[in-house]
Amino acid sequence: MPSLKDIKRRIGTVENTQQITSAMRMVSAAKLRRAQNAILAARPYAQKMYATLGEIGRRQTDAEHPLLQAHESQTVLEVVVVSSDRGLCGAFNANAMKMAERVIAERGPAFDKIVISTVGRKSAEYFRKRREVVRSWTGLANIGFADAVEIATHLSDRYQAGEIDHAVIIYNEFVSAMTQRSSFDQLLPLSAEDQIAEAGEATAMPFEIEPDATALLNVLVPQALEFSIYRALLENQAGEHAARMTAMESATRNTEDLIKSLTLKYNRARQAAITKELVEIVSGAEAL
Amino acid sequence: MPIDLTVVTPEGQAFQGDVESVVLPGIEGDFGVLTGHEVFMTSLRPGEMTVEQGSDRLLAALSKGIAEVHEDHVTVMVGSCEFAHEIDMERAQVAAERARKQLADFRATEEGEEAYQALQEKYSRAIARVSVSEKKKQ
Repeated sequence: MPSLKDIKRRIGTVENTQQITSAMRMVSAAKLRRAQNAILAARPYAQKMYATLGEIGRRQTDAEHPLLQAHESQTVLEVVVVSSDRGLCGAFNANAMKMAERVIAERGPAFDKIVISTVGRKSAEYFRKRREVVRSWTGLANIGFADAVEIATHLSDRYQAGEIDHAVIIYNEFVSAMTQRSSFDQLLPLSAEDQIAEAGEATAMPFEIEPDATALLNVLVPQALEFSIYRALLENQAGEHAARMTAMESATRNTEDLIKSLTLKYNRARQAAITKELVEIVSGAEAL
Repeated sequence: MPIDLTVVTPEGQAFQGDVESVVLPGIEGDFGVLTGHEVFMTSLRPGEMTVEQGSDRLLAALSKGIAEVHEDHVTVMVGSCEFAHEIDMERAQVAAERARKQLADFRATEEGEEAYQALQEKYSRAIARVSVSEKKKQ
C-alpha cells in the first residue's frame, strides 16, 4: 500500500504531464489550421496549372518531354518516403512505413534495385539500416514551395541522367482532423493522362502560343512534378498536426482518468489512516 | 480600361487587381501588356515583373512560369513571386553571389545540360531579386 505522500506525488506528476499534453494539443491545433490554409492557398495555382496542361495536351497529343517518357529498361526504383520529424503523433509514421513496405513489395520485384530517399527524421531512422538511402531531408518545418523544388530537382536530374527509371512518393493524406490516409503517387515518369484528367473539362482557349507548345511544356512538366511533391508535403504536414492533436487529446483524457482514480485512492488511504488513528485512540482509552 | 492581373503561386495568390500595364520577362524577351493586347500564352524566364497601378510602380522578382493574356485578363503562374518590399537585399546579394559561384564551379568541372540549366535559373532568379530591391531603393 503506497503511503499518502507517494500518492500525492504521483498525482502531481500526472498533472504535470497533463499540462504538457494539453498544451501540445493546442499548439497542434493552431499549426493544423495554418497547414490547412496552406493547402487551400495552393488551389488556384493547381487549377490554373492543370487547366493549362490539359489545354496543351489536347492540342498536342504527341506532347513530348523527358519526364513524361518511360525508360526502356526498368532497373532502379526510387521511393520517396515522407514522414514527420517528431513523434508523439500516434501511428502516423508507422502507417507511412507500412505503406512504403507494401509499395516496395508490390512494385519492387519488377526492378533490379530499390533506393529510398526520405523526408522527415522518422523515415530516415526507419530506413537507414534497412535499405539504401540516397538522400534525406530533415528539419522541414513549415513547408515551402522551395522545399518541393529541391526534391523535384533531385529526382528529375537523376531521372534524366538515367540513374533511376521510376519514382513514387509515399505520404499521409489529410482527410479530416480525425483521419489520415497513407497513400502513394507515382511521380516519374509523369503520366500525361493523369495530369490532363486532373484538369477536367476546361474551357477551350483560342490561344496563340509563343514560341511553341514544347517551350511551354518545358516549364509546365517540371512544375507539375514540383507541385505533386509540394501537395504531398502539405498533406503530410497537415496530417501530422492532426494526428498529434488527436493523440494528445486522448493522452489528456487518459491523464484525467488517472488523476480521478489516484484521487480516489488517496482519499481511501486518508480515510484508512484516520480510521486507524481513531481505533488506536479508542483502544488506548479502553485500556486505561 | 484597366487590365485585371492575377499572379498565382503554389503558396497562394501573390497579386490580384486592376492595373494599367504590366511588363513580364518572356522566354524570348520582356514584353509589356496594355489593354487590348492580343490573346496569347507564353512561358516566362526567371526575371523581373513591373506593374503600373495608378501612380504606383510595383516591382517583383519572378521565378520561371507561364503567362496567359486573355481579353484584358492577365494570369501569371509562377513558382514564386516576391515584391520589392518583401526582399531582404543583403540576403539576396549573398544568395546571388553563391549562385554565381556554383555556376562558375559547375562550368569548370562538370557537364550536364539539365543541372546547368537549373543552376542558371537559380542565378537569374537571384539576380532579379537583387535588381528589384536595388531599384526600389532609388
